[in-house]
Amino acid sequence: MRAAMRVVVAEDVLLTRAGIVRLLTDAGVDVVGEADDVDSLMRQVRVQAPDIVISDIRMPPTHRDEGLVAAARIQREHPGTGILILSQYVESDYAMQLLRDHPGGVGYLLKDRVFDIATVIDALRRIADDECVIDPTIIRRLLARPRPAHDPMDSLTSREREVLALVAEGRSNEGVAEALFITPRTVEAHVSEIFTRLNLEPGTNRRVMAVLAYLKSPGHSDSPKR
Amino acid sequence: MGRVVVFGRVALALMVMVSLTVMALPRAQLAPLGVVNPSQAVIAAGVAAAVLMLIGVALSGPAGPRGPATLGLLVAAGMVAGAAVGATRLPDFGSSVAWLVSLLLVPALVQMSLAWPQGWPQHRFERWLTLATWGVVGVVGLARLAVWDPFADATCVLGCGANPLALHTDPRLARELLDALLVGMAVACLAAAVLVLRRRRFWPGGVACVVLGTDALVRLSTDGPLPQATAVALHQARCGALAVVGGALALAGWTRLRRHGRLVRLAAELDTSPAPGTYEASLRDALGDPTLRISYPVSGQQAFVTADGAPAPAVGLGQATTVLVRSGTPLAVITHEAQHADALAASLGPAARMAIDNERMQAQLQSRLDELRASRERIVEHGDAERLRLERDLHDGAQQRVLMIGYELSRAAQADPSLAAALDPVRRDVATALDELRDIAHGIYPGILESLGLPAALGALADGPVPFQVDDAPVKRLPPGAECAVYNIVSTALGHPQPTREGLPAQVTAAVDLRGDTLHLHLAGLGELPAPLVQSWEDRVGALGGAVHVSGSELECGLPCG
Repeated sequence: MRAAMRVVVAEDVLLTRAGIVRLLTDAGVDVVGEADDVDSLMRQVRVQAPDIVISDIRMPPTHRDEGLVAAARIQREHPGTGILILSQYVESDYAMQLLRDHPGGVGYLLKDRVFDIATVIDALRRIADDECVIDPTIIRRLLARPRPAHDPMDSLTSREREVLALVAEGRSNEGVAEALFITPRTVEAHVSEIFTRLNLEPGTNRRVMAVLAYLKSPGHSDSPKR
Repeated sequence: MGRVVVFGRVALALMVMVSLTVMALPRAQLAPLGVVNPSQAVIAAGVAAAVLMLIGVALSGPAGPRGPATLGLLVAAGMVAGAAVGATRLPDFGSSVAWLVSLLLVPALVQMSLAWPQGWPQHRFERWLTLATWGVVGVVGLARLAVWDPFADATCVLGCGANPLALHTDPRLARELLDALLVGMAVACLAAAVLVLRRRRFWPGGVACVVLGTDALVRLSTDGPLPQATAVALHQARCGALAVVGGALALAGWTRLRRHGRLVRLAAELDTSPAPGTYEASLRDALGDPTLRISYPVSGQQAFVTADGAPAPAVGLGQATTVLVRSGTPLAVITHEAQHADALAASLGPAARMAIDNERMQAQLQSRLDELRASRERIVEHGDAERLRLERDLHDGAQQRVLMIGYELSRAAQADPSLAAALDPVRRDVATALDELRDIAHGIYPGILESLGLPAALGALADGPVPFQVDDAPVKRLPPGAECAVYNIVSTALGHPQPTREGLPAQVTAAVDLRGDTLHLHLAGLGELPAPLVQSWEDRVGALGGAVHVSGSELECGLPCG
């Protein structure tokens, strides 16, 4: 058992912040600081040097994308600090923007994911291991997008689609294997097949980004490379 | 009529007069002979009267054959000819013709006085008198010339040589015909004078008629040559009276010309509709005052606007104001440098007032239009801002509270695992409620549009049931009104895709690009669009000064966002 993770929670709505903090504390996470805007968050990060920062997106003063801006600053000024964004928004662009700046050690979950605290604890572990975490709801929406006829996605088997979804959520091959009760070697074979069919560069260390970008842009009717 | 033509006529008249004066000069040289002693003043008066008359004729313009100008010309011709009679440098033949021409003076003056300001009298009696004068003077004058022998004429004082036009000389008959002529002239002149002066019409003509009539009576009552003093006095009176007639004719001609010029200029101005502020600019140039400004009151408000409808600037230090008022209400306020006040007041004639009034109406209309457009824009902006506020309230209020309930339920389930099964359905309901709240909040105002901008917000629309692709969108952030309008059009248009043969919706594609200061949106793959929807787009985009055009399955929209 590793030492308890040290986190700072940034959320401008007191009620929500208190709820998140209580759930995390109950689950054995060490909440070392709380913040309600970017300035107080940066102060806490400097003083406490947490393993991971859990932050809302919209905070004072503009209530726009302060959480993402703060994440970029933390990565720049305190590299190695993990970021978990908790948000109300299901649009994939927020997660994509986060991933664009940081290939690993970041996560984007919907706030209601916290209802199942185990999921959050799992996400925190993966972020600490420099993986990335994308909310399954966001991936489900991307996969459900209507696609033009003859899209290469049509040629995937249902098992391959399951693997694709888990990869998009940021899971490693081991993680996918664990979730689907199959061996990592089988996962590897599936992933290789999927990437070939979708005409993606295999073995990229930014495969989450590649898959998300693929899912976001329709119109891949060309026959894939074999 | 062009000024060049007018001055040309005046110059011509002056040249004629100068040459005639030179011809008349020898009369002065006759003075030592003791026959007659006309002073230089007498000659000068005659010349001045004729010059004035000819200038009047010249200024009268193209008057037609019966206009006062033609009559004035005949009067002048009569005067000049009268001065030329007996000039020593004229041959006998010229002298006779000059005498005949000098007869024109009386009938032309009578007609002119009776007919003023036209060329032919209006009343029957006046017409009769005019015709009678012409007839008597013409017939008797010609008859007298036919029998006149100057050499045998006792009344002759100058150029009394031969009369080459005589058919048969008869001094007695000539004398009687001359008397008849003088009687006719006197009667005609005095009758015309009475008519003109009693009706208070052309008084210079009336006075001249009195003078000519008196002149004829004096000559009639005198046997032999007139005494010198009498001759000079009569001559001066004639010159004076005819000079006044000439002056009156010139004044009338000049007035007419000025009115004509103003009308021509006004017509030219009206012909080309001037741009707003043109009058201000021309007034600035005319006065040499670059600070001059014309502002117009907006009815129903205290505000003043410039010619293009913009709010007028405040009056500067050291500036004076001239207010144009019509029936108690100010038409325009002209602010200018104080020293130009008099020149400005003089230049504001009826045409200027008309131009200013026209500009005022344009300015008021423009100001109203500007106000209306701004008001539409404010309404749309206010609506957007209100929706954004609602979305934030929902996000920070109800959504957080429902989240809190979910968190507490989770803690309760963890604290007492025996409750977990019973709490599960409630937790699912809470999650559903959150999803629904999220959709509602997004429908009120898409948070992603505000936080990440147009490309991300449009891209997220592909999560919907209709295949949708954004080909291009500017990364640069645009005014919220423009972003909102484009997002609104695209998101609502996606509800009406073109159906394919399989019954599935066809792909809708959007392209947004910024060309200069104009945002262009192009949508393709649209189906039948409900008219109220298109109308709502037109209203929203129109409020921002843009336009929407739908044709077939495509939509074009242009939005200014400078």
